Amino acid sequence: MKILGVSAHYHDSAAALVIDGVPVCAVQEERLSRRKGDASFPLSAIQWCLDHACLEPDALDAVVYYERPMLKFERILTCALRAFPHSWRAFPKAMQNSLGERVWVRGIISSHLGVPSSRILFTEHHQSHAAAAFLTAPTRRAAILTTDGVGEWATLAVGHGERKPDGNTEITLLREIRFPHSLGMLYSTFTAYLGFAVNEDEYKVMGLAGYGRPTMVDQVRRVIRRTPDGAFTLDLGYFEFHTTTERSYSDRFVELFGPPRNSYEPIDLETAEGQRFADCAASVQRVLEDTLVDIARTLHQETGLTDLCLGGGVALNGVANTRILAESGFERVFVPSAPGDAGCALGAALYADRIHFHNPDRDVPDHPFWGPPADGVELARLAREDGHRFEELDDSTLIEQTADDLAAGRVVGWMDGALELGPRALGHRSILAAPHAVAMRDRLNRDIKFREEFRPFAPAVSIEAADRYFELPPGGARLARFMSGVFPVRKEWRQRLAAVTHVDGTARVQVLEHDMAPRLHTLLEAYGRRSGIPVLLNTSFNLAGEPIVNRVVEGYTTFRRSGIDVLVAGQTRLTKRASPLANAKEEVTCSRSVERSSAR
Amino acid sequence: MIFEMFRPVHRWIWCDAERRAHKLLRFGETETDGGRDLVRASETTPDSLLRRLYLEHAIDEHRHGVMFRRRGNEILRSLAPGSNSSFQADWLAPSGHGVDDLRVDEEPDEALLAFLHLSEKNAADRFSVYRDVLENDIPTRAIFEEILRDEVFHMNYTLTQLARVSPQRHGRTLWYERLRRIWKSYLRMAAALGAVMGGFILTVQYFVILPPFAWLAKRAERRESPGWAPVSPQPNRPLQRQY
Amino acid sequence: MLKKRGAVQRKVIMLGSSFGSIAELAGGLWRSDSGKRWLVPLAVFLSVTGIVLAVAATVEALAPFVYSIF
Repeated sequence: MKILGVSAHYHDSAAALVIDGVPVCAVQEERLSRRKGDASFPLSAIQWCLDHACLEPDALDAVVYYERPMLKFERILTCALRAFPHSWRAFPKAMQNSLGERVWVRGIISSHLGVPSSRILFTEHHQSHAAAAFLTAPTRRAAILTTDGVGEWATLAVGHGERKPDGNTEITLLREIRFPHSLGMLYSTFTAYLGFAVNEDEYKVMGLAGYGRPTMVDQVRRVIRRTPDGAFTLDLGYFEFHTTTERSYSDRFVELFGPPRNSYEPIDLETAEGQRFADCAASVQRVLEDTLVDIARTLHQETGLTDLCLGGGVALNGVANTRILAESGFERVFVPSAPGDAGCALGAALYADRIHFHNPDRDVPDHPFWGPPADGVELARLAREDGHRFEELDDSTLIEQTADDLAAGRVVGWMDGALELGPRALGHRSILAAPHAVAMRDRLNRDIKFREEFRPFAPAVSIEAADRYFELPPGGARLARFMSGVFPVRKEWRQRLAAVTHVDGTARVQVLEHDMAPRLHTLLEAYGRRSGIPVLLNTSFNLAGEPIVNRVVEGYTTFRRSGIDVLVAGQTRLTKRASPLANAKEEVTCSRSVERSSAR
Repeated sequence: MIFEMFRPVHRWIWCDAERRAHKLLRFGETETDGGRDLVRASETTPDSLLRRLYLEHAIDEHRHGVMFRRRGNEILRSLAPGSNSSFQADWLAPSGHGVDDLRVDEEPDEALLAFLHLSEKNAADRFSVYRDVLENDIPTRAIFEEILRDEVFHMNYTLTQLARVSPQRHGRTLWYERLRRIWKSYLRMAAALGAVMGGFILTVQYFVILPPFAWLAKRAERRESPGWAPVSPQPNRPLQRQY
Repeated sequence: MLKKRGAVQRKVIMLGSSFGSIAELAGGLWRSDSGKRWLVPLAVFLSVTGIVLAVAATVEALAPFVYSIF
């Protein structure tokens, strides 16, 4: 049975293809369109998935959309009515957005793919999250907790899933918290207040929290209150996201927390104002963690299960995930590589396969690499055409050479195999560097990522060596498989892992098993033989404001525009001729002379 | 030429420090976005010389973005706290030339080169006016000076490359692109006008039709209890339904 | 390979299915245990308005004139 899953129209659209119960491929639209967070209907992603599987749209048994558009429309309309007359500005925009395209999803799918309406299915948003979390995890029975900004009505849902011995699968959502009461919206509101982009920069708030103290927890608890049944409500007087499209927080919110940050102003942590923003981030982070831990603990007591699957965009909050693992009673916590809306494409397809069509359970490969492959031959062609020095090496030589580069302090762009699904680079589209010196972190921030100085980089470590350098609790290695947890760096190693150790002594570590990314694992070992520490700094292969690179040519242009010293794709190794700055100038001079000569 | 006529207006717009700062910051975003589109162009063109030139152009745009942002932030920092300029006049003093209304990966090289040439020319005209009216802000003026030098290179390479890739038709391509810009301007205006009309109709509906429903919605909301809500069992929610 | 269809052809297909979608919305609200039957007339009315918005979005050149049907 061939099932295409689609998520679209809000943020980070994607397509995923499941054939005979097993994912075959999945990719986010932004990786193909090169527009970060691309929310448009994922035509390129669908096209690539079908091409990859050599399928025509007619061959699809079902196309599953990741939420119910009419239920969502009902929520938007009801919220506008409840906020009457304050919603008068938001109402036309909301209606134009919804009715212009988003509610007509069945027609959009029909018109693009030509499949009959009867083959178009709709899961609920949190069903998709739940399926993406549970059906991709290597567990037979687990509790499920999904939380994000909002789906149709639900913003948080709890339940459980079971893959039965007879091959049947069950996913049962027991109860939910409904919009506008939302942990995701709370966090996004603080993201906006702190001058970052909503639905994109929430991780910056988490990074900033490390520099602050939770001195404003009481104020945050006035904004979000716990209910007697263990849920929570937002005090809507502090918010405007439900009434306007211009601003998430109200004047009362500003009275409570002080003036918001101007997004253009850099955060200077040396000033009282900068520290206030960091404290604010630390406070909302603390309240988010406390609330999630409490809900997870209750779920554990209620289900008696040992495993928990987390889904929804809030599951990208590694600090909260780690506290859930430590304090909720669950022994293992599973977070997919794409817990947000992009992963819903895969979740929706798997849900339809197992629950709607009652197909027998199948194990889903436990890796995030479902996208287009990187082609080293293409890099050789580009380098040849542009007159760059490159080498095509056998695997072992290439890895030894790359380890030498890293040990010499060079920054390496690393492209290997299929692209990751989800926001983390987990070893196939990574920028790698030595993790030892703060200077390396600063260089990466300044010359390569062009981003804020306070944001930490993540380390990658082989599973065999992980415990030596990081304090991983039981179940920690699993949580760290897709960089979903944040763990303390052992004190004795913090100085030698300074580039990846956050100000609070933690790191968002990736613990790598050989089978998941064999070449990176081998590289870690080779680097360990040189430096004595088999740990590398691993950050996503992109520049600020751009999606992670997909094709080799995108890695190549990123390499050319930044301070990356070496680019490796497949078996090809490309180096810069001089220092990054000199190189950039040399490139300009060279190209301008090319231009002048061709003009003559 | 049109920009020249509005020189006094531009002088007024740029004289306010906070307005100037915000404008520079916005210019920074436009240049950076334009740079990204040029990177995309360099990734999709089959022509290796164009790939190098687009990439160089993209690096220039990125650098311009950094310069604008840095200067904008410098000006903002120099202002007294609480100062606030309410009117930004963005439409009167537009920014550079992001390639945002062009899907670069769907355009043949000749169309993209023509588009870039005209955009650069347009931006150079505007930036030269901005430079001239900034005689009291030497650092900002110097930024426009430097960018204008790059714009000359960009204008030249796009024109010469257009002649190279389309030797027989480059003049016609430029004219076609000029017409397309006019058509696109109309489409933008039509879409904006349509959006305004749609917004107006929906606003009228909001105040005329919604009040009784709003009353019912608020009454229903009062009956809802806060906290957890049960989820109805899955068999009640077949996947064929959109609701 | 996805078939390339023109914007107008796609919109015709989309609009063809929109009446079924509106019926689903109305039916869903009617059956819903949240007691929202009173919302049916408004939801249907706005959805029909939405069809006009969708047409306007497709034929941008005519967008200012499409609204004249009101």
